[in-house]
Amino acid sequence: MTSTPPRSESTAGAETVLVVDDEVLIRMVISEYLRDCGYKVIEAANADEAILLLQQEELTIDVVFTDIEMPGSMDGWGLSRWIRANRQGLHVILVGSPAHAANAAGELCESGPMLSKPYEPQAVLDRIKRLLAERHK
Amino acid sequence: MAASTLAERPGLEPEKLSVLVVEDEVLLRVMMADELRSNGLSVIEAANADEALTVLRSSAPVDLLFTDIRMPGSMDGLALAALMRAIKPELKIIVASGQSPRSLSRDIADEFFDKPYNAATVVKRITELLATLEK
Repeated sequence: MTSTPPRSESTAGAETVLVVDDEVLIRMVISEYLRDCGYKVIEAANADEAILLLQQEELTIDVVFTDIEMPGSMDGWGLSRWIRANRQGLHVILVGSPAHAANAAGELCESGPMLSKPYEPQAVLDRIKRLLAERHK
Repeated sequence: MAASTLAERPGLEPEKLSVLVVEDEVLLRVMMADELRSNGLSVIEAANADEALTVLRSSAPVDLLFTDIRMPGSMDGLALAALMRAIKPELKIIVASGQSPRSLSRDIADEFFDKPYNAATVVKRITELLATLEK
């Protein structure tokens, strides 16, 4: 269900990633990882916030990294369709689970400003799992 | 004399100090988070009090809570501040509001700002409060 595209021209040289996730702990860890990779990261808690950010002309956004399942008026697929219609050419990465998110973020790191991963995606996933487990205690 | 800036506290590394920004207006939240990060601080962003509580109840370190008052969700910023003051008194708290919070007591927060606020002024106060941390 994920569309983690192979490294492509569209991510080469990309600087700013918009991370969209309604689960704050996952958004926090993925965003921190991408910042550690040298990206500038902007965070949105849902599709509506993401669209508002994408409509700001002064904000340069190169890649949208979004969760698929989100409550609200639009999920990740809906956001992806909106982008296709309104911001053609913008690279979208859809992720369906924390494991997919960690792996996709790792791949993004390898095509990012540092061209390498500061640490393995498994460490990112372990941190997400640990934080989510605390939540359900 | 107490240190008033982070520069006077060489043992405190800004990137190891964490600020939780709680604001439902995404453009304002992004702007504040950006301003704080460009000052070298580590920032966690929450879109409402419920997200903030999730972060504060986790093991993610937070040294200072900067929260808006009026937000949708199960709790507003004032209730969040009061709750955190009760359960984590060492947490520094700054509250921002569109309505002048005259009736609010210092027991709830270390500082209040009226909205709209000047980001640079808020960041300065945040770094001053962080410099007083016992670390």
